[in-house]
Amino acid sequence: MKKIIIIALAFAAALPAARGLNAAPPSDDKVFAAMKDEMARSMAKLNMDNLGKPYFLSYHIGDGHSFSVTADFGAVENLNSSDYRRLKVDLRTGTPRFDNSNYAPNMWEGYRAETDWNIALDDNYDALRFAVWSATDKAYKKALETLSKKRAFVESKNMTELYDDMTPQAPYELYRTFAVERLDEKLWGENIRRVSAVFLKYPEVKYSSVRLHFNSGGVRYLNSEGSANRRPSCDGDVTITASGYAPDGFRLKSSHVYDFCLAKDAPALETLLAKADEIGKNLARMSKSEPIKAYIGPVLFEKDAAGKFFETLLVNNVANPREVWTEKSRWSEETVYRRAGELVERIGMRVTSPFLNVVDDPTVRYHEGVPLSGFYEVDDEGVPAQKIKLVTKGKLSEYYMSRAATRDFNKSNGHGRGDFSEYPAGSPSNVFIIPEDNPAKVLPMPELKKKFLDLCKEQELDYCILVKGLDSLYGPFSAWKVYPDGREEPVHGIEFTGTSLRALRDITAVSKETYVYNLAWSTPGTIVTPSILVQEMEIKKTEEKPEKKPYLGHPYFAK
Amino acid sequence: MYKLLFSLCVLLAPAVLSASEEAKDPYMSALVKELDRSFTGLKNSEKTPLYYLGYELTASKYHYLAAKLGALDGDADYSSSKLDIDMRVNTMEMDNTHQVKGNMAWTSGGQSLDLPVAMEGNEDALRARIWEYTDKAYKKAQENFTKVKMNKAVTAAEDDPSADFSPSKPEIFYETVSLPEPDLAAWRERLKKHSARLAGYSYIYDSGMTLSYENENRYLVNSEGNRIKTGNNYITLTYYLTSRTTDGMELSRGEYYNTDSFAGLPSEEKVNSDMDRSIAELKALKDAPIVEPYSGPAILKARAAGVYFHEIIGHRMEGHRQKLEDSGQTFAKKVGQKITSDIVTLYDDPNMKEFRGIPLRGYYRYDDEGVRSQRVSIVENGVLKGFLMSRSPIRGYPASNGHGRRSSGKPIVARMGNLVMKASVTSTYPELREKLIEECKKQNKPFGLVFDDISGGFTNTDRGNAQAFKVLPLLVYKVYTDGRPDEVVRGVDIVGTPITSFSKITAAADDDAVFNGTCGAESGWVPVSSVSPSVLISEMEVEKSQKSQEKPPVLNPPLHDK
Repeated sequence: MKKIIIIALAFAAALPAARGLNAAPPSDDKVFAAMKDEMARSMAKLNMDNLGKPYFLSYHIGDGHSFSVTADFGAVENLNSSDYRRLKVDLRTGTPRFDNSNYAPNMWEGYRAETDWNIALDDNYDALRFAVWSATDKAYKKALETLSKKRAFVESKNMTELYDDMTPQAPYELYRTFAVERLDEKLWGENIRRVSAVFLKYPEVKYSSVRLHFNSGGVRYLNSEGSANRRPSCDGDVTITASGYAPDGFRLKSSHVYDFCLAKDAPALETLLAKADEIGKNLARMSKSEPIKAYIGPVLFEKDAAGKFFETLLVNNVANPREVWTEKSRWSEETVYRRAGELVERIGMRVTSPFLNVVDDPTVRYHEGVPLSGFYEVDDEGVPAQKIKLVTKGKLSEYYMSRAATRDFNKSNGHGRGDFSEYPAGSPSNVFIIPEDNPAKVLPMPELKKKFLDLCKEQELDYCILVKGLDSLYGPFSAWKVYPDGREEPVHGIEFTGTSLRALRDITAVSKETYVYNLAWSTPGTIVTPSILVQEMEIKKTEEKPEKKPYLGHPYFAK
Repeated sequence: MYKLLFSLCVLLAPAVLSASEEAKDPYMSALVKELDRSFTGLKNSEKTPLYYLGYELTASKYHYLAAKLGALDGDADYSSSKLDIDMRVNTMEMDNTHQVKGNMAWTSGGQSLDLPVAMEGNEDALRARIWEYTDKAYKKAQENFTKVKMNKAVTAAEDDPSADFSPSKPEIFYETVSLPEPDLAAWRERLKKHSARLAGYSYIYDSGMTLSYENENRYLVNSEGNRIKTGNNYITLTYYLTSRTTDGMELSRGEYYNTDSFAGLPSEEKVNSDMDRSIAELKALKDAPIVEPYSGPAILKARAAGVYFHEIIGHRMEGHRQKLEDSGQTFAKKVGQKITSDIVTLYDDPNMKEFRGIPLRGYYRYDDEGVRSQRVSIVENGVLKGFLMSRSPIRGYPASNGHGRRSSGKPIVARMGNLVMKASVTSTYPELREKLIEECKKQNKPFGLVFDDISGGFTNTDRGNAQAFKVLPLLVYKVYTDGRPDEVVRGVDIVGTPITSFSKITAAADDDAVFNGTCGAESGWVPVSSVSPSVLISEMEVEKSQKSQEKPPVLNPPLHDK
């Protein structure tokens, strides 16, 4: 009986390898040829001291051109322009039920795939294949070691629930051609410099910086089960940040990020100049800001602030559904390297107000003309991109899945993504907050503001709090007091107290207008969100202390 | 009369030109204006006065080209302008940089700062950044001084009561060092061609070739009147090839060619023949037997001896180590005493631009405190003479001798520049080899060791640990007394304690050679050189080197899959 099981297992393990040879990347692609030939050899022959062959192997080669420029106060401080080609290997030993993944041998080395950041830039078959061989060898030895450590870890604990490390997936092939796009780097160096010079007009802005980064190229992916793809890959952003001081010395910040992927979608110079101006004006107004003591009442989150609200409370908590374990050490008592999102345990339960639906759709490229950076056709595990329903009428129906199983799901939903050094894990792409068609809850912005002020009057408050931009829901921030007559005054040095996932269920109304917020996740993504009115939140004065203001005046404005 | 005037003009012209270039230099202008404004404005802003302010701006242009197995895998430019600020409050006797002892020590450790400034000469932008960083540095200096005062009050008195800073005379100097762009297309092809030669060997598990070149200009201004601009060019061509033995030992061969102009780089033929030699050496090492722990006579070949002197003695001659309370202070009280054998004379001279036509990486005109570099006599005929000094004085050495160095972002300490070992008695190398055999026979040893190449080493100067060193040889030969051919061996590190090791240097050859490298210590990575002849050491101790547990690759490289 035992023998039969072993034979059956061996057969199952052999199948994917045999199928791997079926992927048929374009025959004139030398990079694919090097990947494919070395993969075939590795799957057939890699077996050190009979410790076990790999049962799964995938290669990811990304290449393109990278450009970045940073400018400060009218001068360029940093400019980089270079071509890159890099390789990531995901090699699994053991079985799909239990392999070397989802386990970080120790805290400081982290949970990282085997990578080579500099491989042949030319399409030189021999050099590429050598690089693939070298990284595969390292990945294989590491995988064997990690698997034995993970086995020991599990055996030392009473772990009753183990989920499959690699769920089955039908092979999928997609071959796009891609071109490496180059911005006019001289022009953009000058553009960014000019945007940074806007702050010469604002004495209230003490420190500022404007940065552009743009990577453009493509990715080739091949795995031993027969999935393969070649696809364009790009990410870019322009970030404008400025900061100054409130009269009491608290640092005030204002910033904006434009994400884009195609060169044609890079924000226009006029747009950037206007935004820098707006940030400068905003900071000038905020520099007269006064602190407040405490506040309990309705809070209106506008645009970016609404995005931050959903990102922190919802999106981050339905991602990375599989825990990554680690071993305790002399320096760390922790046995979980990366926790699963907090809402993952709440499938079928109410997580937001019942008039809200949330979907994630990686296949959408633009929203009302604004580029959505979460767009992709196939994820980092070679699984086709899928639109998923995260929240239906307030109840959590699904979360982000890679090929690692969880208690609820045994299949990827095409959201396995990771940045270059990470293993793919369930990650967001383009999140859409879609309210039910309810005229009492979904209002044009002026009416939402009116409803906010009505609530304020109802509760006999002198003013209510409006948040326009937010660094964090858990630290000090700046906002606006809005008086019943609509007058706005800046406040700062406050933080939310006792902010919990409950706030998602206290959303009482939203705007008709939507806004594209760019996620601060390791892979590009967005939230298309309305502005939101939360029934009640508690705010207190921060315990952080203000800085000592600069001793001398700014040399330019003190002249 | 006219003639005289004319010739005077010609003589004066470069200086005049340079002066006008200096006057128009926006970096210098921004630094000086902010220096004056900050120093005056901050001097008495707090109870503890600001007494010294220094700025160093390092403008660097760096290019990197890399190839492996016939394909380019690196091609990038990095340009940067970075600011370093040296801010001192209270008095030279005791200031904010004073060492904090005991449990609080970690709070005052020099932290690495990255302070980018405009790469273009935009004076307003430069001044805005200098102001921002200066304000932060001033607050930090005041905060640190409070800690110093408290620490001083609650801990025992130091062994060395020297002040924290020493006076130095202001320097004015202006030069702009430039580096013409090389023919990059030709170099890309050359690197590909060279690197492709390493593809044909199944036992080479990794290899590569790189060309990097850096043009660096430094501005140094301070509140005492320093107004300096000076620079260096650093060009390095290098290749490496590595392998691994079945018992897990990493083997590596390679060559570095360091120079300050592209004309100084070796020809294609020279690199190819060096590569062939390295390939043969790697093969020999792969098949070489492991040498057992040994104590007996040995020769350090010239470049290896250079590394040896740098590690074993050089670091211990860095002035601040004679003062830091947690330092071993091996030599603090040995000045005037014999510390090595009579034949050894050792000095450090950053003014040497080259040695017998070979450019020295440790060359510089001014150190990072703006002090003019000076030749420092360390050992004369075996007797300890002095130390390498920054502006942090030690007992008996109240002034800097131009050895205060750092890489941008780190606090300055005393470092080596060009360390030179001169032997008073020399012979030819073959004669030295004969002496080795004689010495072996005298000690009844069947063989002696020759250390041909050393990758570098570690030396421990902390008080908490043994005052030991370890040097990691890359290529070692056994020389038999019975006339058998020399044999390549592997798997040993040189170990020992410095004072005993120095006394055992018994002879030297006349084959002085240069080791150019980059040395890392608490003040960062700085370019250095060592010059030394081959030396015979009557008793050297080697121990088994550490090896990894990693096996050679499971499969052969793809081109050699048989």
